[in-house]
Amino acid sequence: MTTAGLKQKNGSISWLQKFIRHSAFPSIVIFIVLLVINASIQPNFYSSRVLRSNLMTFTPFIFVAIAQGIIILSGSLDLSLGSAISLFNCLTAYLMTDKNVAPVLILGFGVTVVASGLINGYAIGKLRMPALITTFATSAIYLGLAMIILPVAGGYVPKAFYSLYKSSIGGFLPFAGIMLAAGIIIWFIFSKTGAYRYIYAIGSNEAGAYASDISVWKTRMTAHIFASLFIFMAGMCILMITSTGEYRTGQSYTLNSVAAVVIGGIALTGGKGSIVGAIFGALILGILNNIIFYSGVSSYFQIFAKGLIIVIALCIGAVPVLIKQRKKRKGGE
Amino acid sequence: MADAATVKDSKAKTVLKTIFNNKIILAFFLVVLLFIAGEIIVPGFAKFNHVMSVLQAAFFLGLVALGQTIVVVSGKEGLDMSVGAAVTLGVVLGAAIINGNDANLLPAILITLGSGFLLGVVNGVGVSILNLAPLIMTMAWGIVIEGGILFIIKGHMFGTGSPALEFLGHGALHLGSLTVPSVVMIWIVLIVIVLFLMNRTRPGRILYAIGENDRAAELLGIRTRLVRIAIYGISGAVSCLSGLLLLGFVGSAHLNLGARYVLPSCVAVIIGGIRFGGGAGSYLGAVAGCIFLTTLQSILTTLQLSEGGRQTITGLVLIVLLLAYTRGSRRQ
Repeated sequence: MTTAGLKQKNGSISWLQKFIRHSAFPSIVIFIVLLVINASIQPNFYSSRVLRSNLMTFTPFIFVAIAQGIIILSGSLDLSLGSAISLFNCLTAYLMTDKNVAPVLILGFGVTVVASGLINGYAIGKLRMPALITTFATSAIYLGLAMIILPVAGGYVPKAFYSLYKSSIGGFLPFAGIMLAAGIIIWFIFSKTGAYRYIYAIGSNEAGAYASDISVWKTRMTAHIFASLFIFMAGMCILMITSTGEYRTGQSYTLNSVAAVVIGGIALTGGKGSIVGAIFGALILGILNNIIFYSGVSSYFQIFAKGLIIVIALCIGAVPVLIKQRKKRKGGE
Repeated sequence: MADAATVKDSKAKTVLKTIFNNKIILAFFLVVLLFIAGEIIVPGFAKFNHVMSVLQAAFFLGLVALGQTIVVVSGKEGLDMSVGAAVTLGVVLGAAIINGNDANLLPAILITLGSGFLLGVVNGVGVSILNLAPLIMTMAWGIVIEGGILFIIKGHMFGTGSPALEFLGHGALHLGSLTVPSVVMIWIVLIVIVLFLMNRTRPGRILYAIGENDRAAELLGIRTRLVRIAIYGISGAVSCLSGLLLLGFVGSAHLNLGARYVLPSCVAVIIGGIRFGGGAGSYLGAVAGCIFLTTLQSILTTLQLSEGGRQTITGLVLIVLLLAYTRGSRRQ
């Protein structure tokens, strides 16, 4: 503490203050509080089996939150994310046999990149169509296609493939954890590139970014394409969890991803916040689901409660912006 | 003489231009085209009685689209995605209150309007006071309402409609061989009232003013936040009423009735040329959009397309129209 005080006197900010002022700080605190509550409700929370099952369900949550986070940071929005996952889910489950797992996954990857990355990115970035309504429309198209492919739940997912997700490499390294780590490393590497800085630039000040020679539409499209990689990884996790194809599978992820991003302290207007916050936002939602589940309420109430939690989270996320606006107004008058 | 001729010529040009630029006329033109296409695919599609039955089915969407229209016109990227939940609420509440007794019809109408209004007010508070994106707020709140309905009724529908409600929703006036459904007459009266309110009265002017420029309207002394909350409230109320009448039309209540109105109500508004930036557009355009969509659905159903196919085509229509309209507005 004393060194921190000294450093502050010298004019630089200590790491502790930096941490507290970070946009992800509130979400980290909420996460820790909820973790304690969850651990006290859920039996054997610390057993390796429970930890692993939590890791398995949280991983796709985290991936969609990263995807939505990057898109929102660029000043865009993707409401077709859930439908793209549904499309991936139905397409791969429809085509898979015991022998063609890898080619089908590559095809699914291609479809996801085209649907979530190229089409949305081009429409919003280059054609400058409003993100909200455009992705809402593409969402209807992707969901419709998923329904055409598999009108009723079914398809086939080989056991050798989906049991991989539950397995551990070398007996202690869970596969889900490796996927999560790989995803985070990919994001981390990307976050050190210039393209990532451009995403922040166009999100916070589009005109300024344009004036300093950043191609706004290319950057926004890059954000969508990069995010589609995470949507694909989430889709793969979900496919391995459900081990079947159904068009409803992805639907809940759309709003959850937006909620996770907002809880994590990323502004919906773009350019402000960090992906770390989005990751913690996803963890918070996942743990809240756990708490609702283990508190023993009826399944009908659970749907209601989950929706309510998202609304409350959105409201809490809106409060800091509100306070800032109040201050601005007072300052202006 | 020459002057008069050029004036006349330019007048004719402006008339032509307004027709082409007028999205409402364009939308009705699309409807006529669809009916011609329908007549070619299925002979008898454009007969008076069938047109009336399409209009009858379009009415319920039209009522939902009324709410959607005022929300979109009110600006701030306004959109109400909770209309589906409101329709479901209307169906469930209506069935539970009426329960086969005509005497309960009036209380049912009042209660559905009231609870729909309250549902919308929450949206309004989220949007105008907490400054949340309307799409996100209304979508999340819609999920809460649907979850709440499920939780309260636990999956079992309770109650039924009554003869009077069924006449309102499904009845018709027979003039010789011509059938005029009661909802079509209700709709015509409603359209006249709404157009009068929106174009000729102070509340209508306030609606357009806050949609055009929220800050300027505030400086003129309009309490924009309160107005916006009321607008979302009205949207919830009319959607809920639509659900009640839908109960009369369908006859029996089920839970998934509302969901199929969310996307079409947005598309109808776009087809009707109502600008998503707010401040411009007429309910008449949304009416044309509703008739267009219902006709399209009717054709797709006769072609025996699956639910997924219809969803895909509706989405594609939305994208194409969005593309055309955003291009058009940019050129100006």
